[in-house]
Amino acid sequence: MIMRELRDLNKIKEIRKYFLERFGIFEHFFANYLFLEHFEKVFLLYKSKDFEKVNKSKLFGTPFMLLADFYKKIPANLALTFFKRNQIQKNWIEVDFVQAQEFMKGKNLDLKNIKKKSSVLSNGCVIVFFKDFIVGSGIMEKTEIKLNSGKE
Amino acid sequence: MVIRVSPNAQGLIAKSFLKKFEPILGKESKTFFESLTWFLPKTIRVNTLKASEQSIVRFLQNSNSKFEKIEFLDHAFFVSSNFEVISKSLEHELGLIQIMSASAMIPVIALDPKVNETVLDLTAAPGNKTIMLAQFMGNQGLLIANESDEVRLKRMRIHLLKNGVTNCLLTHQDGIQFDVGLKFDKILLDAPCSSDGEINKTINQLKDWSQEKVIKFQELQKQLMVHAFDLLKPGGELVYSTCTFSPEENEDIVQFLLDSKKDAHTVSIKLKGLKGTLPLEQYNGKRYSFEVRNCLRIWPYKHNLEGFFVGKIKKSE
Repeated sequence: MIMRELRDLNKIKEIRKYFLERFGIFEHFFANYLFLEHFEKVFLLYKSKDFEKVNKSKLFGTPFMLLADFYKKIPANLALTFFKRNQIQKNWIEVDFVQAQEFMKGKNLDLKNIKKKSSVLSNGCVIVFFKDFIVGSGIMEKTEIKLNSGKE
Repeated sequence: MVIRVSPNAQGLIAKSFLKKFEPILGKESKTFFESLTWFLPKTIRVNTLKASEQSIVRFLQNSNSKFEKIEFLDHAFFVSSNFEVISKSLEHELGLIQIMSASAMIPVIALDPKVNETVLDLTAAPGNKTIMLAQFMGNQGLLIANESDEVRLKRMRIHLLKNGVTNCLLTHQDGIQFDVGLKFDKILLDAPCSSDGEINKTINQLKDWSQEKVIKFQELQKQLMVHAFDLLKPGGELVYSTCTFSPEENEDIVQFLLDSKKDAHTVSIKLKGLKGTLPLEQYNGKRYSFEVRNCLRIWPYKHNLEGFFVGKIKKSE
């Protein structure tokens, strides 16, 4: 498995734009990170001086995956734990303890039972918080939010 | 905060194990054998990549658990009641707390990696120590976690993701041939071992204990130790650890490295408030060199913690 640094600036721009437009995450947030690519999957890694020296053919995969599928533009669920609450401005909801547990088990959420949500909330990927922590992401369709089952 | 049972451990332990450790520990051996069946306190650690200690203390209070800060470890707590509530909690599921033994945290404390260093965890699965390394590094610098077992590696990847590690690359190589074209500032070698230090979890394992198994691990550990040392930059540091009591897998391995590499020297490990951790001075008619005394041993009967051995080695500049 060969993983290489993503050098296609258009692709990087597209990723940053997606996170800015969908969640309000500013582009400068990504300044300290390298984008790595393997097939259509894009990974993030903290920039370090020694990364250039690593024999990339020996890598297995990096823990942080930015997008499960580049073309579907659905962020991988676990990867979202990377972000902090104050970095996400749009398309988020906050659930209580019971809702969080049920959601993680795969039960859909009904929007009318959600007490806290961002003022901008539209169909598509939404980030689900419990207190200050990201539980994962869901796909909102009208009033229902189902767990994003995109493979990590 | 020690909860003990007083079973007759003797019937559960292989005779060869008793015969081996009686002369090593002398008068203390009886207490040692009994201690192998104690229920040791459960421990958790705050995952500082994702949560503050304050928020986890609030969670512990709300879960009505009895807990106590561990004096010699930052961000870690003994939990003596309602542990199941914690292990099944959303906070654990979300990676805000790690469940790991206090002894297993010591190798990372000893290595003490810093922000922006290049660090290798040579035998990394299941990944709890890797997460701790990332915490010490502030999720910066470069951390490489290697694991030779592909199934364990895949599980570890999810574990690291869940716990918010973002400075880590994974490799799938045999540890004794590991090579990614890099030399490292710090290396953790938590070596595969006969694991009898964790025996409080599964006392039945001691029925099947054998010296042959110990010797088999020793051969692998020697190779891993020498190779890990060769992967250090000049001035770099290596921590070797096991969760076994056998000197063949502990003091012998450190002595073997000191004898093999003239630029290898041990470094003392300081843990505030933890006493009685000196390693063995001799075994099987062989006296270890003075440098081996810098290593550290954790015994359940002395420390109420799982058995562990930790040695820190520095490569000369």
